[in-house]
Amino acid sequence: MAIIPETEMRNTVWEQIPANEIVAPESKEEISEIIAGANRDQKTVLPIGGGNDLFTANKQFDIGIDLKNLASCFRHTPEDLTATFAAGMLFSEAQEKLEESGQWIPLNPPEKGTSTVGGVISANRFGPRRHRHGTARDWVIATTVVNGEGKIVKAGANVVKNVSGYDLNKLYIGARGTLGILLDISFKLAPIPEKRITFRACFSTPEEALGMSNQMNNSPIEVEALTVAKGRWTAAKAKHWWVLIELMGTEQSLADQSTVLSSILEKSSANRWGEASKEDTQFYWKTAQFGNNEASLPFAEAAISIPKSKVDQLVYNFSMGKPDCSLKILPASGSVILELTEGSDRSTFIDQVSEMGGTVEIIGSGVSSVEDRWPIEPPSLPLMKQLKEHLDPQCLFSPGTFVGGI
Amino acid sequence: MPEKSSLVRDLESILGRDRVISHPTELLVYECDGLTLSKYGADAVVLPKSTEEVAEIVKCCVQHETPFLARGSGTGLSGGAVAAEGGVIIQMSKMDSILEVNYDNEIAVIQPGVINLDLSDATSSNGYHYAPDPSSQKACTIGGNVAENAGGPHTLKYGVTANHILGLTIVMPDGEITKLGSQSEDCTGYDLVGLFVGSEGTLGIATEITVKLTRNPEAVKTFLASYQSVQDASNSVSNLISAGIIPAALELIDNLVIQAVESHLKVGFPLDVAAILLIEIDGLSSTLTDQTQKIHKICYKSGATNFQEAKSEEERQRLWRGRKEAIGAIGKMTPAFYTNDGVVPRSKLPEILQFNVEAGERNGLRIGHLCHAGDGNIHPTIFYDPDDENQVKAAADTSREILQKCIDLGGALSGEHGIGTEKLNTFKFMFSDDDEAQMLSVRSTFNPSGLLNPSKIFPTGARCGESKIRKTVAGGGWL
Repeated sequence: MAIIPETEMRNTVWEQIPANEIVAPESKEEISEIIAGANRDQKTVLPIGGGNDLFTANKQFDIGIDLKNLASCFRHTPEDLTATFAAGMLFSEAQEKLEESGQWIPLNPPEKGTSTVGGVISANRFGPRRHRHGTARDWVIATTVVNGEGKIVKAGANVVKNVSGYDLNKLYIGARGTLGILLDISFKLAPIPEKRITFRACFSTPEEALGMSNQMNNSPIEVEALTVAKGRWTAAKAKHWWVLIELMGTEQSLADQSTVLSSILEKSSANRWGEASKEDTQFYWKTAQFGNNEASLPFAEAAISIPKSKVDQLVYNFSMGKPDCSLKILPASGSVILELTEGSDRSTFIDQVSEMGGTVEIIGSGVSSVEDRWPIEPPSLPLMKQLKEHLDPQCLFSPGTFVGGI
Repeated sequence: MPEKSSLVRDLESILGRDRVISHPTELLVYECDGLTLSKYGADAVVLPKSTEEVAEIVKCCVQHETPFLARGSGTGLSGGAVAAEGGVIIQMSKMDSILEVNYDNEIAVIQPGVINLDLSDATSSNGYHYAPDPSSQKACTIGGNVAENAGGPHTLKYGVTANHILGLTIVMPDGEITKLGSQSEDCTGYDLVGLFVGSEGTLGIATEITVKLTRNPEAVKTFLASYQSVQDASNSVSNLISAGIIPAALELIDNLVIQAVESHLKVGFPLDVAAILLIEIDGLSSTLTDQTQKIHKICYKSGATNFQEAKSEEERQRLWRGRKEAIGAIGKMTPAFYTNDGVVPRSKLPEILQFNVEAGERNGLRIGHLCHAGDGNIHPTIFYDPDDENQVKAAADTSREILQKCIDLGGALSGEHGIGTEKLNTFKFMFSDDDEAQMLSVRSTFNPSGLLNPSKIFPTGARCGESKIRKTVAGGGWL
């Protein structure tokens, strides 16, 4: 185990970690001992992945556990399309290793090579390929975790179908480390298709852009990724709504799908549309993921999930009369990301989302409390709190940093 | 007729006499599910029509300190939907309404007693279906599917039940009503829906279920590949998967099952082969040609002696009937059978199938295979004579040996039917005491009294109940 010098922290400045002590254990057993000790001494623990979205709700913790040294475990069985990674391994590194065998985890969260596998899963991050491939809950098949007593426990197995015991994997995904420390995570994998192409279409209004997206959803084309973007998630001076569509497959199947897609776009009201060059493809998706000015982060972002049929209404309400607004939409899953500017009225759209039966998570400046971050509490919050009490009875893991103060 | 207990009288005051079954003869139907090897007697069976009635029943059971559980159609194979410690079975068959279908949101809200296939039938004219398709889909309920995280042949491409459930209304084990998830794809906080699905009815009783609907594919092709050895067929599965080909469905049927199917269903499976693969692909019609060529090539390279495509929708339906009704056909071939639900990593299929055949020979039993091969879910079906105590014991021992081998190969105890009562004694093959304790902590959060569906999944604290191994005719198993 090592105390981490500031220079070795991957993406987080030492002083920003609100922990009295930061350790970097080198084995599962060391983590187990640390947690058993913390349990005995009633110390609080903050698990640290890549440090990219370390929400601490202004709390101070006794021990920060950086998982960077827990990065060596790697088991890949290409013939089974499954793999296991240590939680501290970089997500990008994991993907690179899989790519050597023509396989991948088809999740593409917006991360710049500094997120860990454990971090991506703990935060349940997703990207445009959610359109076809869903989220981590569709790909994680097994986990190993250190629980509140310091015990190493596992759930699931390296098989793609399994109803043996409770599927605790689902609980750990998106739990932001509040139920235990993820040690390793197993995934089912997908083959990387032979070829990918991207089409971009530009529209003047959200009605047109979303109408076109709905048409895609109703077509027989098997779209891999689809994002509607506006403002900062398009080119710097673009005034249009972009629709980015990714298709994958063999040469022949892409040619066939392109023909169908082109015919739909031809009949649409797109100002401009076409298949993107290789260079443009990279630029479009990078912009849609990270924005057109990477140096300038949004003041805050609201990640919203609502029933699909409500997306149009929410987008119109938010964008009406705001030509410079920024939005990013994954219509097929009802996901909408809004850019919030300083002083913008949050309560209006939060009320709207609440009425629509949706959820909101706000990330960025001015978000310091759990109420700011998760302004709509789920009806099952009391049950979630009880679950936390049962699995982490001493409340060691990141207390007070999750939904409803969990 | 024995005098009615105070429990039964109280249940009758909630539901009326016509929806409470307590006569011993009428209760016999509920003694087992698809696993007929062991039977358990319930004190009463009740048939609620609403969430509120379920809540009242649960509160009544709690007041009487009586165990209770929910039951769908009883098509499961793990002895899950049985009253292992007596008590009340809450039979959900009268809660069978499709409450809402919203094609804009691509969801349906249903009651748990809706039959799986009925939902697909109800939405097919609008171009949709409900994707998880257990072979029992003509009979099983979606509530039961939720409890067991049911699969089916097409879950290879489309995912299991857990991938298709967005929200649930549940009656908690204390009778309170709560909602998990919603009609949105994401939830705030812990994914309690994901936890609940597959928890075998031990965390609560689902009374309303919000499911995703899936658009029907534009085109479908179904192939039948024949092999002269089971090894070649299972190697073919491994080779397809390792080549990155994931069909919509990939099923393996061996000769013993083919004989049963052809004797009773006559769907046109070849009789002179050791095994067949039923392979289905779907999607944009023009993209299927490429896939067909690749699959064709791999199958022949792996030893297929014949590879044919269903030439019409009628032929395709006939082939699938052979697969989905195979278990019924097996039931006519043997006085009883025992279906194992083990799973292995897909590359281990050849090894486990070989092991199963040898285990059968060693124990003097015939074993047929009806595998969801693409998922590694092997479903060996062990034939035995229930009048022969040695064979009954040998069947149970053989299944246990197979499960141990699945775990040794890196697999799991159950692919789609759960642990139930059947695999209590093999749970520890896969999980440590600490693993189990973690799961029990979750159970005690929801179900602290343990009155809801006791003696299921977890060996610790499970009582053996009054399990009666009976002489029985072949049960209706589904897989």
